[in-house]
Amino acid sequence: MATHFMNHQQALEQYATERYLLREMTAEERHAFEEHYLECAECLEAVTFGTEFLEAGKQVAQEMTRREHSAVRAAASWRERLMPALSGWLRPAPAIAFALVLCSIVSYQGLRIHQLKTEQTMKVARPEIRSMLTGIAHGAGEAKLIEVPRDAVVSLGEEYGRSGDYVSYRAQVMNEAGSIKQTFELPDVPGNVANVALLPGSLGEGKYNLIILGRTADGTEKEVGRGAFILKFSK
Amino acid sequence: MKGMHSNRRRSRSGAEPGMVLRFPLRGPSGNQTGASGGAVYWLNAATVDLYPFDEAYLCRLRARDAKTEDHFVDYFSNLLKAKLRSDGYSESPLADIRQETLYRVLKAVYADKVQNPKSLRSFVYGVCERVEWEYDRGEWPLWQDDYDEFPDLSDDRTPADAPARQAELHETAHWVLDKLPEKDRKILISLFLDEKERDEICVELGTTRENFRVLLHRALSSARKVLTRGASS
Repeated sequence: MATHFMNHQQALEQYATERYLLREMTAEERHAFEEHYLECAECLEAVTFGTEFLEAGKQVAQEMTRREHSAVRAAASWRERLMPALSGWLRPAPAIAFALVLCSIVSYQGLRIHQLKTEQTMKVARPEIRSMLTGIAHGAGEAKLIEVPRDAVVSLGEEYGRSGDYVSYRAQVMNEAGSIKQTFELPDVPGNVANVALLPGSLGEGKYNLIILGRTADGTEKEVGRGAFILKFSK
Repeated sequence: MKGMHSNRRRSRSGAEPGMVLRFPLRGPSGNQTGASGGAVYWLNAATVDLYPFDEAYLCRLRARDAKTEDHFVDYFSNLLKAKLRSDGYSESPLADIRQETLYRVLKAVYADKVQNPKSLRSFVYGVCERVEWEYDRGEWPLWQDDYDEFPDLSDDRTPADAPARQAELHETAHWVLDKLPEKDRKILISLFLDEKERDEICVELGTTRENFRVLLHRALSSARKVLTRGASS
């Protein structure tokens, strides 16, 4: 184990990101890994992603645990209440009446669930707005105005220069202040158009750049495409 | 975990820090195609990138340019959060240390004491370690609260797109947990909740510490696959 220095290969081999997130590193190891990831795009992203994923996982785990506990409590509670009552209900006439009532309730619930599912599907159906950006590198530097309803999915397409020098590509949405608002890993598929989708609520109104970066085998990244757009919500 | 039981680690804010999440927006369930029949690539787990800090950035920060200050706070809040979690701090002390660190770094920048923009990340981590040290020694009541001249670093900074990102990541975490075998799910839930000693989890669930990192590695990989999966599949 390296005590003062860690390179990327060592970080991968030692599950450094996972051990860092699980707080299973010594102070020296942590320091060495921090020095590495502060200069390594891949590890930096992995650590920050992992941190947020653990946070989301914690919320989900708490919900799951709560649900399990309430299910156990509810089952116990129903058993305690039902058992004395059932001794009377299990006689023939009350049992038949109870079965009929139960059938009616089940049928009604089935119908109601179906209705609610349909309503829900209708509610989440959102318009999809598609827009092709003109690359600034190709001579048109104007930002494209995209005016969409607030609940619309915006699909953006942008041309970029593919080359054998790059092993992978990613797209970044950057605001005017230079903050990266979204990042998309682009799958290795033929063609030179990157398509990205912005879901409702992902960006506020404003001017943004969609930047395509090519990554070489040694991890160096270079801009290979750029387009600008102004997002505006229609009334 | 640090900061959970000690009185001297009592939080000044007592609140969850305003998180600036950089997260994807699509859940595992959807599948759409984009314009011209091309694939729509869903968001990756974009969090913090290797931002190229340069002299111009530092100048803007020194000149208290509001947008640059916003970027600085967003960027380093995420980084510091990752670091402080790894250093074992719970939410409240984490928020206090993060805030104090950012104030001190900005103070140093305003006073022209930061000369090399390339080393800004390392500088922030160095300051953070000093603040952690003071916090652990119970010196936080001595921290100065004259923060009027600094940008808003309050705990309720929430960007407009944060809820969507949080919801998406929440859905993904749920999906990843649901897909795991029962035993692995229990282990991961125990790790997420972080309420028990790791050795206790090992005994209870018949696993090893080595398995924790492998399991977390798989979970993170699954989450990434879900979040980056395109409609081309």
